Amino acid sequence: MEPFRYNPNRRHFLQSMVVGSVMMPALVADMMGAEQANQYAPRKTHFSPRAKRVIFINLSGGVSHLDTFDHKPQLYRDHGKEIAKGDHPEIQNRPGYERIFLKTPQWQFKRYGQCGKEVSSLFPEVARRVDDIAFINSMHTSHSNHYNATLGMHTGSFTVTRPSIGAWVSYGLGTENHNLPSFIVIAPQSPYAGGQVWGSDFLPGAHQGTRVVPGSNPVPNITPRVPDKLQELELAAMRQRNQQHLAKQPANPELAARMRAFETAYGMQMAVPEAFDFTPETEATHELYGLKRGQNDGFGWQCLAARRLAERGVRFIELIHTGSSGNWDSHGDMMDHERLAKQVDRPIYGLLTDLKQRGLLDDTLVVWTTEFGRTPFNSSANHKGREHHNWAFTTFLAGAGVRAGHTHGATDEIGLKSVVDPVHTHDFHATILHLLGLHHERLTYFHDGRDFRLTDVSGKVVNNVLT
Amino acid sequence: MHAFLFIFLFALALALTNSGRADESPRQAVASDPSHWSFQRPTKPGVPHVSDRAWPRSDLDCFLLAKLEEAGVAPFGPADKRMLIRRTTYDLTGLPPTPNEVDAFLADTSPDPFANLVERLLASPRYGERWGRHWLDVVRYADTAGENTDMPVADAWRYRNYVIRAFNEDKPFDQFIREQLAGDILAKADPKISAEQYSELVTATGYLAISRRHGHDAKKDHYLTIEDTIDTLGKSFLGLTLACARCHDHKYDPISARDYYGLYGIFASTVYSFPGSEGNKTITDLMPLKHSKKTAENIAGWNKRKTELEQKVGAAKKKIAASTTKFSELDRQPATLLAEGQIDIREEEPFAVDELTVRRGDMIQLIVDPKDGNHGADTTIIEWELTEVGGESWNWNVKQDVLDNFLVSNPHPDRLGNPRTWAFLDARQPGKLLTVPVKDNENRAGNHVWRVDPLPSVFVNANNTPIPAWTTLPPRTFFVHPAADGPVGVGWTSPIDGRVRIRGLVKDGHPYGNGVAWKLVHKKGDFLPTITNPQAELATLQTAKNQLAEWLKKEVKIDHAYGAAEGNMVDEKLHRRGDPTDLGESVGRKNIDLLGGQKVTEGSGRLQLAEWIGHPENPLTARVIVNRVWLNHFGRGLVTTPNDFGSQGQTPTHPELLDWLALRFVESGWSIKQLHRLIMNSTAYQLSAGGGPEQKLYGSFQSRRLSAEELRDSLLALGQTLDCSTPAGHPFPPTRNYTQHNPFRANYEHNHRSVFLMTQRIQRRPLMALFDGADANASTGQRRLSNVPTQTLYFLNNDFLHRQAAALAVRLAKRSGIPGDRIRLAHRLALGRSASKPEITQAREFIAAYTADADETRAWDAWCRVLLSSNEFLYLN
Repeated sequence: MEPFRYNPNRRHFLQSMVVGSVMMPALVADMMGAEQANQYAPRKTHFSPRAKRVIFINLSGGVSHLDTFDHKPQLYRDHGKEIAKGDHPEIQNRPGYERIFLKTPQWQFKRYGQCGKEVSSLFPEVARRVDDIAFINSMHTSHSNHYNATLGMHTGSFTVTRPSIGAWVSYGLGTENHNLPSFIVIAPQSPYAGGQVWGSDFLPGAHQGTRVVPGSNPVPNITPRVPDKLQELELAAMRQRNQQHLAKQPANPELAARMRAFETAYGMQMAVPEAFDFTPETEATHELYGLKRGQNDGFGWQCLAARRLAERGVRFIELIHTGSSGNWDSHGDMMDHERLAKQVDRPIYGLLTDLKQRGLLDDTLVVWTTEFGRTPFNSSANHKGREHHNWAFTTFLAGAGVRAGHTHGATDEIGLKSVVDPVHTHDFHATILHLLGLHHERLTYFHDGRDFRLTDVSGKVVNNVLT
Repeated sequence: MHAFLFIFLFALALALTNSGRADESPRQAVASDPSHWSFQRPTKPGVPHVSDRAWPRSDLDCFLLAKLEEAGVAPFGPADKRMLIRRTTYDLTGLPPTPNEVDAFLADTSPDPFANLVERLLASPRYGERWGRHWLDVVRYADTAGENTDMPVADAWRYRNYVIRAFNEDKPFDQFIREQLAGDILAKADPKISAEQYSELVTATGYLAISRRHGHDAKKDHYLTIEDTIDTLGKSFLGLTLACARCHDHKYDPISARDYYGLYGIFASTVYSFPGSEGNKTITDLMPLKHSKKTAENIAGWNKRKTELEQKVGAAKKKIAASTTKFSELDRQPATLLAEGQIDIREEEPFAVDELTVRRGDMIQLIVDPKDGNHGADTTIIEWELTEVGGESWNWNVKQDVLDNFLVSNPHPDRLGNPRTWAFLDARQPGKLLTVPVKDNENRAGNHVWRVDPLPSVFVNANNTPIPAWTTLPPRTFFVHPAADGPVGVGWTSPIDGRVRIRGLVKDGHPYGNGVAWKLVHKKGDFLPTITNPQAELATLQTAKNQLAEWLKKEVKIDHAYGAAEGNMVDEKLHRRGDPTDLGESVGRKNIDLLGGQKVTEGSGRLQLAEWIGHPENPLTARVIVNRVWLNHFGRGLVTTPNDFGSQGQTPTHPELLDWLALRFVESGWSIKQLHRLIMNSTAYQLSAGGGPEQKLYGSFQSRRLSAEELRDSLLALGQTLDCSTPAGHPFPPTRNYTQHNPFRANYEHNHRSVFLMTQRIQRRPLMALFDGADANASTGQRRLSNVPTQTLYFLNNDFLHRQAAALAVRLAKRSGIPGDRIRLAHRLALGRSASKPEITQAREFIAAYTADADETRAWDAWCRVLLSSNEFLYLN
């Protein structure tokens, strides 16, 4: 019979694991038991990956491409000019939209970097990193509702629930660090379509995203409720009970796996707060992200947390700015983009710079996206806002395997339609998976009598944005 | 040959020849095989011969033993009786056995104690709560609609409780099918039906109504809801993935797109209760439940009086409208423009006329127009002063004239005593006076309003302090607010013949939207007699409105189900490649060819469909449900893909046994409880747990983790905080103003069983997400249980777990002060067995070690957590 006693060695063992958080897979496998390790341990890719992990920045509400990264001089010239209504989904049978007029952007564009990418004055800081970025100016998507387009950008399905891209990546690649979930979503508010955005749907539950809410207690059930010494006692007693039980049981790998999961959970109690404790970060780093010391909210916090999670082997990190309200949905007044851009511009610059300085950009893919763009027109030229626009928008990729300083595709002269090398959401997903060494047609899951994929029945890798 | 079988074979032949030419779209490579095992009727298998005659308790066991013997694998021995009662009690009720129940089972000396145990558990109301939940998994039950706003569905719970009752009453499964698909038709067809039975049948059609809703205007995306119905129908009853045929003929099974649209028409001819959505908020088509004759009379009486009062309100409104006809006529004349302009948000613009000649009765109007694309944010501040040039130098100032007695009348007097100087106008053509006074708008004291409902309006903040409203209303201020579709006006009707000087200001009052346009015009003629205040009519209107409001409060409310009813009968056209805007030829409503392909001849066809599905000779239905029951007893189906019996599903491990069970089930009158008895009173069910090669062949029992519901319910039960009464609906808020930006989200807590927790579609309850609860968006045939560290974190640090452990500790302490007694009782409660001596010693050592750093209460709390975190508690053997 094992005596339960406070065991200082065991504690050191766990702590050392936590400090050296990017654990060796072998150790993980040992800890988690063979059954578990097979399910979640790092898995073979279809071909050699360029990126090992993803930081997926999702600006919610529909960022205007015309006012940020897709410069359309003609819009400035033709402000107030009436254009044909066409079959734009947002203005059919909509009172007040019998006629539509072009509307000028309210910001000026400048060329930046070696590549000379034109960026508006909304993103002066991100502009300093254009030589690390591949822009896709010819995005388009299948729906002009927030809910559907957001679901589509995350799951490839615009109607029913399907697994999130983060869940697919976790399923496809497993995880490097069992002290942290493999898919973490940092979201101050709930997004459009709610938890479906990070759900695993028919994929195993281990691959669903864990939502972190910026603040002092970011992960549920992580804070110990009893002093460490007492928790040690409890864990020792649990282990004792479970071992005695196990000895009487026929082989059931789940029981042993669950015993090890207690050890892991114990480690997570330290690893998770440690990942979100920015105390060791220097003043210079805080400054880089536009973050005040001790501050535990804001997009700067989200970005720095993302870097720390990336360092600790989290496979897919999504940052949502901001959620289903107070977001980039500037119908009333495009000037609201200025308020929002100020919240994210510096932190994104900081993240890209920091990742690069640390060499992490070599194997990390940073994705910047939104669910759709905004219209170049409105019901009058003096209307202050822009409407939903799924015919064209801009996204960008940076980091591992990405053709830096390149702009792929183009919209027409007024930014209405993606006309040169259009990229659908499915193509975008196929490209992200490709960079991770996953073939989007081979990353499948058998469910309901057929193989399902993130890209449904379409998707084409955009080779042009790859090196 | 049975007629049905004949039709069936004929249909198979048809399916073979027909399945490809359903659509004009290119034919898919159809690998479908009508000779697939599950499409053949079960045949009565012979009971296999076995060597060990002592082992089988029933024919069922012979099927299992034959395979074991064939493989040369010896089955395990029988389970320990304490383990067996724990296994069985959880299996049938989802709760742990009480110590008394365990004792009674062990002490039962009758010939078959286990059969007695099964009978007792099947008779418990807790049985339906557990097995109803299995069915709710299959039909992806939720309390919300699942469209953009995830609208709460207040009446969905009635279907949930119906399912629980159906299991408790052992409703024959074929009847269960009929009621869920066509209960409304059955109810209406029976003139002698009791009110209770009528309600039960209509409620059953919740099966259809809980189909998932989609999009912004869920009525527009109803085709996706019908797809969801067909998908769930196929999986739940037939084990077929019918929805695959929405875009093209099924790739693997003999299901054509014609089959799909033949079914589609049945549901397109059906009215579903509509839960409301962002683009279409009104709830419609809830299905009234039956009520007594007296209630019916009361409703008729109430409706009659309501109509009378509505007519009274209408008449008063008409009179008021008539009183402004003269004004409208005079107002229509061309006016002289004095000034005009536009302001943007946060801007203001003054206006001035230095000298204007007016005649008594002329009206000067300040008209404020919403600029293009109104976003409802056009609160505008007005200042306006007129001074007589020469003469008496009279002065009029809109603020000073109206602020302190704003609601006294419209037209409003000035300070000089002229009764009809100011008028507040609905300036949309034809122009009218605003007729609705509102005192202290939305309980904001001092914010008085003249309006038509709800806009345009003229209003004031009469206070000396700002009012926080949709925007801050500055003190002592006069405002106008145009309507989305037209302007608001303020009129000054001249009491003099003379000359006036005009000064004023138009200022944005709410920095949002896109500003306003304004103009100042001079209209000649004698307006004074046209702007009478219809005081008497307004009073009559107000009285009538008050009476109506009072009467509406007395509405005789009857209950409604969220269900289905017969609609307009339509056949659906093929949607080419699943696109509802690209229509092909019309397909008559029909059964799928695989099951006979019969045409619908009555109504929507739902009742016929139910008969086809629940037909004793349907090869799929009985096998599918029998497999579900088997699956939930043994943790694994005879067919391991319970929602797919098609060619992509798994073939049965014991095909003869499956057929034998299916035939026995139908013979028993589709009795689920009989099926439980058949399965559980076997040797196989009562074996001890194993994990070796014997397990696949049912030579040992497969241990399993408690489900999310079992875990929560057990924690409640052990802490003696479980409320076993049956709740009704959920405390949804009365407002339904949800949008995709601000969807419905809630997480109501209660101490009822977990099957009664409110289930949402766009977000999962944390406990359910963590412990692998059912998917509320698609049929869950079998839950996939995960084993992850975030679950163990729950046992370490979750607030609910800590509370329930503490409640258990209190329960133990109440029973005894002696540690050994407490420890024994805790084991009996949580594990169904007493504690061993070493376990008691260990527990006491733990308490002693713990109390070195904490008080004794905390130590017992902690020990209870250890017990509840143990594998022995969480797993059943």
